[in-house]
Amino acid sequence: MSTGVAFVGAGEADRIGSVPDKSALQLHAEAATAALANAHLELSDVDGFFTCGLDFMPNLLVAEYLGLHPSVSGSNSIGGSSFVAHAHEAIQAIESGACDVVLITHGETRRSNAKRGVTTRPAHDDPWFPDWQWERPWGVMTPPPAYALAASRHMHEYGTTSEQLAEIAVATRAWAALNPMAKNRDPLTVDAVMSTPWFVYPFHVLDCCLVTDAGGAVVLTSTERARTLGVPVVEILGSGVHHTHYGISNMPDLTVTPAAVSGRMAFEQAGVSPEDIDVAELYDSFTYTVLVTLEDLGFCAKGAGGEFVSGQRTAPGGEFPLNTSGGGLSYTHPGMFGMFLMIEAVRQLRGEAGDRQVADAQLGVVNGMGGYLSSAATLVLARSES
Amino acid sequence: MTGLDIEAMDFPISPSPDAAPFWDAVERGELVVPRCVPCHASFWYPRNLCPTCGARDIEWVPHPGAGIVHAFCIHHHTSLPHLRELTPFVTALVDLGDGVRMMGLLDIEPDPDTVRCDLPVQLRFTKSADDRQIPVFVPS
Repeated sequence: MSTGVAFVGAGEADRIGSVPDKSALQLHAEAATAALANAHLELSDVDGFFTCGLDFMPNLLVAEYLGLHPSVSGSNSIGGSSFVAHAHEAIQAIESGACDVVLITHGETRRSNAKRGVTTRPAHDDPWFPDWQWERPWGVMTPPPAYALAASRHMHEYGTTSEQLAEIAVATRAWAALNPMAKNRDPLTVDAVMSTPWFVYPFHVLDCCLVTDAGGAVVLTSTERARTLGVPVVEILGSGVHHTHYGISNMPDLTVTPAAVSGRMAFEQAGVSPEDIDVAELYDSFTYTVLVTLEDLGFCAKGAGGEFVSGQRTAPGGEFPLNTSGGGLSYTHPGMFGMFLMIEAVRQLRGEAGDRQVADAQLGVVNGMGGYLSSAATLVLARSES
Repeated sequence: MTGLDIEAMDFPISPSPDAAPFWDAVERGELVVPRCVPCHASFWYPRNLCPTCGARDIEWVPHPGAGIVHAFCIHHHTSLPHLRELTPFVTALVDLGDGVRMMGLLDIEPDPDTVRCDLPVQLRFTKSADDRQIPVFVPS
């Protein structure tokens, strides 16, 4: 089965990682032109546009900078999964005929913003908001402690260990070593991860993702038009989006994420099973995020994620190629990572992933996870006839 | 009590309209939780409709403050200024029964060999430097 919509281009900004000399909008524009060139399309072909992360009116701000007057646009903001959710919305827009070519962009200078003392996201400064009332006073105002709370419950219920979480950091770093755009490329060991200080128990420093400057973009159109462009076509076979809460206190079950629902939607629409997948790009805000997502997407049973990742099974040369870019843990993470999951999946399925190319990759899965394990967006992708 | 020096801290609480009855009770050394009058569902956090049935008829019910730790984390860093002097410290999600899961500070040795899920705890009240009662969980 197929949604009838395909990815035809993907690209990053010229430089990512630490880019203090560029604005977030420049990163959007660099990535947009790279992705459109990769699709053999021009900005003037774009009539659908999605972005978020900057400003109160993100799609207006970025569309203006790019010179776009789109027929369809959106800025759904559900955290780091947003851009994957934008692809889900793009499918519906293209299938309905409301637009033909969708551009999705992301660009943030989260690393350099801190040094400049600026923020480009909307302020969240009303102390009457529920998280200010019920979570911040007790220590939770950022993702690390929220995800740590969930991980502690998973460890309690299923015997998941810090060593198993570290296996993910080590395997992901080994993929990053093969990616010239990755920020951290030096080899890691489980012992090295375990010997880094606690950031917030049960996470060591190296269980947590990077904070970088980066831009990325992808281009989608109907599979029918995709086949006229002279580029490799990556069909979207299925997609799903789901969210269950905002603050971690209201997560219905700390050990089950919304990927259990979005994943089922995407796999059912695609008509394929997890065991058919050749390459997986799963949001790694923390090592634990990957572990629980593997379970919720059905790659292993609930509680078996620790065993699944043990013995470097997800590293280059292992049985299960996972987060082949080096992930948010070692490649890049400009505050949200969903865009970069899609870019890497598209490159793998086009056969354009260089030294880290997974041999004969035909089917891939992308899962974005946003907020405090609050929202998930899943895509099942396939290399297609051009 | 093993080390959370609440008495030395200012605690920046700015009760929302939904939260005022909770903080009024805390000032009296009591815990109250919201409950839906028509469907009897308790819930947390307080809001002006029932998240189960949508009714706007909400009552506040006294709670003894006994619960069990559902999940915890141990902060070795924090970006929250009022808690910076406390690191390392423990935040817990505590199940108080009837669907109420409340986040709070847990006054316990901040050591993974000491803190554990399913630990029985009790809510106590401690005066802060800025002279308000602060709810804190302690092992029971």
